Amino acid sequence: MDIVLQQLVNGLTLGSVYGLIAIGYTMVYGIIGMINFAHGDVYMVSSYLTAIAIALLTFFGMESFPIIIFGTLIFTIVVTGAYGWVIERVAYRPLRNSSRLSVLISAIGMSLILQNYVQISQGARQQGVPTLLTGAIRFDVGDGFVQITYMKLFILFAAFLGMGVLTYVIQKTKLGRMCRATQQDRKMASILGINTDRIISSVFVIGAAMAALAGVLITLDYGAFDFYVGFIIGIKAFTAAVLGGIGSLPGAMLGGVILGLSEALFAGLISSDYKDVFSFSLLVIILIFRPSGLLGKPEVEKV
Amino acid sequence: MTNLLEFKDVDVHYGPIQALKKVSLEVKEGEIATMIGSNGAGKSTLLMSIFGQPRISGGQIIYRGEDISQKSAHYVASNGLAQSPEGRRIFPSMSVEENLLMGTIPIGMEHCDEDMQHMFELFPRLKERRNQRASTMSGGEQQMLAIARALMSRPKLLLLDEPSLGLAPIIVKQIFKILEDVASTGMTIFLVEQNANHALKLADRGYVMVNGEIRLTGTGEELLVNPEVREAYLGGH
Repeated sequence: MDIVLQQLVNGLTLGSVYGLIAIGYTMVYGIIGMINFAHGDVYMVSSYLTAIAIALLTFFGMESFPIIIFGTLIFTIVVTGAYGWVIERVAYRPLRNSSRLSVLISAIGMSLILQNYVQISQGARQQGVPTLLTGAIRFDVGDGFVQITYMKLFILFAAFLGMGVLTYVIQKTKLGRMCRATQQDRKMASILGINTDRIISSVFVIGAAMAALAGVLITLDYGAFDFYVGFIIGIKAFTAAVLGGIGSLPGAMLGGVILGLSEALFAGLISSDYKDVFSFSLLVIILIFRPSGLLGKPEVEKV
Repeated sequence: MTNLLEFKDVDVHYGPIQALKKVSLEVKEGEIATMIGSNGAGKSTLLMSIFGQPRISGGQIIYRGEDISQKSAHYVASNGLAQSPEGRRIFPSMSVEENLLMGTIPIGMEHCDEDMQHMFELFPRLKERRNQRASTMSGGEQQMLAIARALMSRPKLLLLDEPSLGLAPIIVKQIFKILEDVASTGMTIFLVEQNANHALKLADRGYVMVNGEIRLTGTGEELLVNPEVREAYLGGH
């Protein structure tokens, strides 16, 4: 019982972070119909930026947790957002009217460039950040106990706050309406006076910012990272996006949480070695019964 | 009256196929001009080429004295041109209200509430369905929404692509009645239609397009009694 509860908490934390990264995949797919394979590496870049921000802030003598965490979040989100903007500008926009395959290959190229650029500039060794937040809450459950670290609580809070703010922006603001209009009918959006290129750029910046939030949270929790961390977490988040229905924003968040929970429960109850097998099997099974994902809409040919 | 919009020898190609051939026409300030033509004549291509989709391959499109043929669609839209396009192209997953809000992009939210009330007066059906997803509405309601959305930008020139397409005669009548009201406020309208009867009755001047070329031009009444037009579009009655 205590293991189940503990793994539920762990899974929810992990899942909320998957959800944050999945947002970048799903929004980009929704608006220009491409899988941004460099998105995992954008997350990886944000891990390094987190370490740089912490080092800078500590160097200038700011050591209290709130200052470090907010400084790091702002710095990392802004700089990672800029990465997202530049990536779209140099690697995808010139191919806007080419076939989807060209853009896909460009994305894979971008992914390799980011990995190698970070490897060369930051070194290939694993890097780390110090633990900033220690301590935990413990609940006694039956014979055992459930432990939630403050860091995990902070992750849950920040991740769901991030998703909430984004949902509000997309549903209620002018920018959000312009994003949705561009996603539903790009040509009509431009006829109504929307600069669709700028909206596509904004979507890349939003996606990168969400990945950066995830990057800061995970890096602070795990402490260690290298230039290759983007690959596996990118694949997981992509799985989450497909699971929830790629193109659907709530789908990405739901997919992330489901993937995180099922992975954690499987690892805790059955085998942690095979947890990836389980999560990908889950994806296969869901796609057999719901090919467009849990909340995705089947693609309807326009007439 | 000055020309609000003018096409000068405009050519449009889709690959090897020429869709518009040396099309010249003008829309004068304050008038209702119409273009009639059958399926595939190039009517929708003509309207979309104003927004650079597709780009013209020859000639000029002059709007208020400026050649806009190489400008971006959002630039054109921001300067007082609004279109209710072929196929309506409302945003299916948005509510009626959100669709109307999309029309305000070129002018901002300043007149939004007032204009939306005005649209609900013109099209009471939209008011009943203001929170409903646009895709769940009937064809006629969607057409009304597309026109209302275009009007929300307070355009100087309203472009309408076949507002009667696929609608019941009674709805067509309603829509043309509303267009008449809108025109009486002094708005310039350029209407592209297959329904020659309705369009020519409403319009001050008309053009007839056949296979990408302007075949005939004249006032609405002249074209209505023209034997060639009667034969081709009015079933010889």
